[in-house]
Amino acid sequence: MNFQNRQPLGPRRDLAAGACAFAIAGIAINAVRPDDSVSTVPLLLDLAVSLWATIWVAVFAMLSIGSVIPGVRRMFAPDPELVEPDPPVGSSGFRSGKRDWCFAILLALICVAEWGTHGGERNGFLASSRPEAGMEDWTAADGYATVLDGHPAQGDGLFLLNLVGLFTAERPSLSGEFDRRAGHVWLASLLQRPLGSYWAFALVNLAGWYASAIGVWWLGRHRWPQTWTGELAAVMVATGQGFIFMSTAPQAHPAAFGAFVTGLVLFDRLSLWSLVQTRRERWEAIIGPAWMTGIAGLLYFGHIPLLLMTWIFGGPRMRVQSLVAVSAGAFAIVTAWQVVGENLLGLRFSGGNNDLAGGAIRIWLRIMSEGGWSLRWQFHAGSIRGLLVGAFYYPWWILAVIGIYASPRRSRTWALAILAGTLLPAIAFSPQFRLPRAAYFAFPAVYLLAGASVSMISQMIATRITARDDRWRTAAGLVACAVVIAGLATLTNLDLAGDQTFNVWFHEAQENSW
Amino acid sequence: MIPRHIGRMSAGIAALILVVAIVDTPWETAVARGFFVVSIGFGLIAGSGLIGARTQFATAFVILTLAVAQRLPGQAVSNPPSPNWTRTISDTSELAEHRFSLTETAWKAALSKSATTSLLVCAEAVLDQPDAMTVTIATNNGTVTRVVGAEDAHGAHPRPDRGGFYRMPIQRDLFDRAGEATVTVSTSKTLTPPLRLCGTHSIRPGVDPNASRFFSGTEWITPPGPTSHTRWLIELRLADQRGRTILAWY
Repeated sequence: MNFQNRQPLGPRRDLAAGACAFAIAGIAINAVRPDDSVSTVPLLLDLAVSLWATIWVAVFAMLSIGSVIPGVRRMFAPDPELVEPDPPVGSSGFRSGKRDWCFAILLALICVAEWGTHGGERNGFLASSRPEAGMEDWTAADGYATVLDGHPAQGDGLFLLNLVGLFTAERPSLSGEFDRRAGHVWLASLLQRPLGSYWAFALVNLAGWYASAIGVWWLGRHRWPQTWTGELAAVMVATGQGFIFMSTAPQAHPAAFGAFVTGLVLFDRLSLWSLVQTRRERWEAIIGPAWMTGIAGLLYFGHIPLLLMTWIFGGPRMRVQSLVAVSAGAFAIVTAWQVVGENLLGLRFSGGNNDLAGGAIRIWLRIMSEGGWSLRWQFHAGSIRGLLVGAFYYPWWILAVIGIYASPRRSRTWALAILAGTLLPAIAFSPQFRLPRAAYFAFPAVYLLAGASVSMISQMIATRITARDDRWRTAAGLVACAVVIAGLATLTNLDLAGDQTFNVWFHEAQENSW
Repeated sequence: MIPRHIGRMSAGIAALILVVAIVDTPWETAVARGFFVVSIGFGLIAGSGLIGARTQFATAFVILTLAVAQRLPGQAVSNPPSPNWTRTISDTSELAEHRFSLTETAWKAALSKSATTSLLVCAEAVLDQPDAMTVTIATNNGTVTRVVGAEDAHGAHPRPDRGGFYRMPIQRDLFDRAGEATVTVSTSKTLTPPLRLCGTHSIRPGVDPNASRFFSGTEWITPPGPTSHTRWLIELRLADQRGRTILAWY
């Protein structure tokens, strides 16, 4: 199906959302009575960026999802996939060559090195909760910690042990804070007997970490062919703040990040977005993504950003029946666990972390009922800019913005859909808790866009500094890439030198400071 | 032919995984394992088929190995030492004691950079009496005794249902060239309700496992908590000139 001839030229959704965001943020800043949030230039800019980012994400998502309606779709310029189909998967994927194997091994070594050097008491999640990090004033000297098999570990591990015991047949079914994340605990329980709880959780994290790096590499190869974007982004994942922060912590996030990237790979591999499919292909393209999205929901709340991304990117190009089918399938899997857990195992799926999403919605409703001033104040009190910078520090955002312009339009549109789909839940959740680790689901988009930018810049540098043959240019380009990547990796590894700043920001966002 | 053959074997292994996971286990475990074997395990096997038949077979084999390993005798799921326990101190003859080693490099380096030093004692329930507990700290430079109560509450959590810190500023001179400090906590009088002193786990390597102990009025009990590797939640805090904690020590 080709919509090229049916759609008139029109504005792009991303640019239209940007213009809307400027207008609404401007009104919110100028039309609402002044308060402390606009009292200084840094605070004003913080508020402006927070408002703009939130409105852009919301409007872009609405325009994209709204494009399932033909009338709305026709208002905007046709997306490139509708004009020119995606390249076939085999044309840009892995080639099983020697170089690819070497790079895969290099990625594994980097992941293991980062995982090993940030484990135990050096784990960022744990270290940033100690009094010396300056974030908490209620924790003891060891921070929010527990001891798993003699190893210091982040404190939530204590609350996972009953579920581990259920899976290893050592304990009866007891409801806990993390009933919804039981898929993650099941994965760890497979390793519990031979390795013990600490190493079981730690190795599941490592598996999620490596799967994310490999997945992002594949996506880079597929969507930015003939560039180093995939390789660069994969190294950014291997040295990424979110994975380093989690390292050996008994937490579901690395597994969920891995599931998220695997989902994105699967969507492309099964040509979910393609409009030209046989009946059998279409069913495969629905069942596979629905299953993967459901799995992401059994590990953590990964099904929410995956589904949002699917609707945002798929809205303008997929049949609405397909979108509904993927969503229904995913929720069916997540709900099936709740039904089984509640009725057969006596789990409650309530209390503690189970109820936080509902709490966030109630807070938004209360804030909105209090009027414009209260709503604007929320963007100051819960700085969205601080949330986003906590997840990815400025260099990554700057490179990603350059990458937007350095990327072909089909890749850019896809990356922006991931950005909107992943940041929307993190922003929605922010009145309850500001969690950069929720915003970190955006890492495939941020790192791939940043990788595209570094790739482009290094090519420019290589072309300028050497007029010799291609081999010299390639070498010069590689050196330029290596320098940038090493600089970025130095930032994420600052905690090894005793500086916990980035871990603290990743733990609880950057607040209003720049 | 080979991929189809391998594909059948993968399907057979998948069925075997389910059998291994649920047979001869308590029914709750069988239900929980069965759900995730089918949803995640089978899904992984099916998904890996997109890479190739051999990858699918390898995935199935790895999951089967893990399912078998899950049933083997191995490490039990052991409960860690409690991070949050309390001991009631109801009589003036009872005493909690914690000894700090001050010879380690980390302490000396932080002390040399510190501007202020303080002692934090965690107690559960709000101490509404101004003279709730008596805290004594002794080094070879001298002894300081202070009555600590409601106005010394520090940090976020002193609440009736949750432990919170009570802070006692200490002159830095008390620690000059001191190799050890001993802190004792007692009730200054019979309180209603009685004072509940917090305890937690002891993680830091090198800390004497008997650094904390409890005098019941007749004998010293070591360790005071419900399991080993525990200590009183009594800590020294060193802060820089901006008031930022640069070391929390026990």
